[in-house]
Amino acid sequence: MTQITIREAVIMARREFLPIKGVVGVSSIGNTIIVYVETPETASLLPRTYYGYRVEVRVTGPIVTLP
Amino acid sequence: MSFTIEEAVQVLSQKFLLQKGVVGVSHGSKELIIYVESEEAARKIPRTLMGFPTKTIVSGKFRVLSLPEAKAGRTIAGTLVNRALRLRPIPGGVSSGSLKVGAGTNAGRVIDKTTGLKMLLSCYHVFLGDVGDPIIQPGKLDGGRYPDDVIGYIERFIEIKPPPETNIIDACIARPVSQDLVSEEVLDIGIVNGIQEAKVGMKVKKSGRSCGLMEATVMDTNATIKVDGYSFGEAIFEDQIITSFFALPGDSGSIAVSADTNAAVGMIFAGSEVLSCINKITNIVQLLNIDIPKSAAPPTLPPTAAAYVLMPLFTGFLLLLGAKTQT
Repeated sequence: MTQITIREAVIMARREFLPIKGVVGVSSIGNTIIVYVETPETASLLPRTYYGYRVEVRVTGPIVTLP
Repeated sequence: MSFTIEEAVQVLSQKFLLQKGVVGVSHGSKELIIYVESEEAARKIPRTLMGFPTKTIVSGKFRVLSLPEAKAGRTIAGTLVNRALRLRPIPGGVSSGSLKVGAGTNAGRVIDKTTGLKMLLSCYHVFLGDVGDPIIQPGKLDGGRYPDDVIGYIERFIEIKPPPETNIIDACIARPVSQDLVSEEVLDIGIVNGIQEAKVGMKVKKSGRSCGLMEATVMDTNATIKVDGYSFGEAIFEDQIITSFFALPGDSGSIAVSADTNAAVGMIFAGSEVLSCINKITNIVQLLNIDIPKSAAPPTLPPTAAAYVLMPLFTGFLLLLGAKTQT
């Protein structure tokens, strides 16, 4: 199997993780996929690696506009 | 005699909302829902009422969500001003908004590349409305009134789209009623010195209505995030900057600049309890067709910092002069 790039992995991760309730963001830093979640409970729904890339979960709480 | 669940809610609302500890009454499809302040209040609610089972939710007290008090800010001249007051000419970093919102922050002066005119920049959810709608300073919740406090009219914005579509920016420009009305400076920051890409680890600062001047560290520069608070609920934003926490409600629209160069890196539009979210300035200037020119003057330095820079230069100049005189 050909290894996909981190950029491709992030695109796939956005499609897969963002619809999960409690996931509020997906990104990447270097070769790590970053997933932002509202609560620590959501972290248990996420894999530790994704297409061979490490997944780092950051608990942020809900993200809202600031008017 | 039997009641419908809606009738039961009406009857119980009158009875229960006068009871200490009960803060709300509602219903699901087959059950009554009673919102209470505490576990103690929950224990006093019967398991069934008027023939319907009850579900108790401990919600705490409901409060009106209000803006925090505005922080004061300093002009280049050193004057301390209240960001929630009527200020003319209008600097960046002060209370502003359309008639449809409480108050956000006016990012400051930008140049419309199509006309060369000065414009006012903020988030679209702060300058919310249609083209031609008025913008006031201060914002409505800070006492701004129509028509006395009108500072401009909405010129261009990018509509925020609901999922599954995605967004890049939440931004709007307003044409000021007069070009003289717009100050070039942002309170506590001075004159913004062009634009710059944010990098992870970069120190940034912002000047906003609620938190005033605060500094944060860039943690992420290409995040895709879900942001709540729009008329339709959540919106998805791509290509966003995430920083450590430095913004509260009322700070949307604050310009974020590099702490080193005073160049704009983005505009704050959202946040959580632990982080802040920023639209990239490169996307804002491109999509709104605006410019933030490089400052002719060097970035403003506080007097102490300026002294640290200028004193060695001055000393060096004197030494050089002395050396020349000796030869």
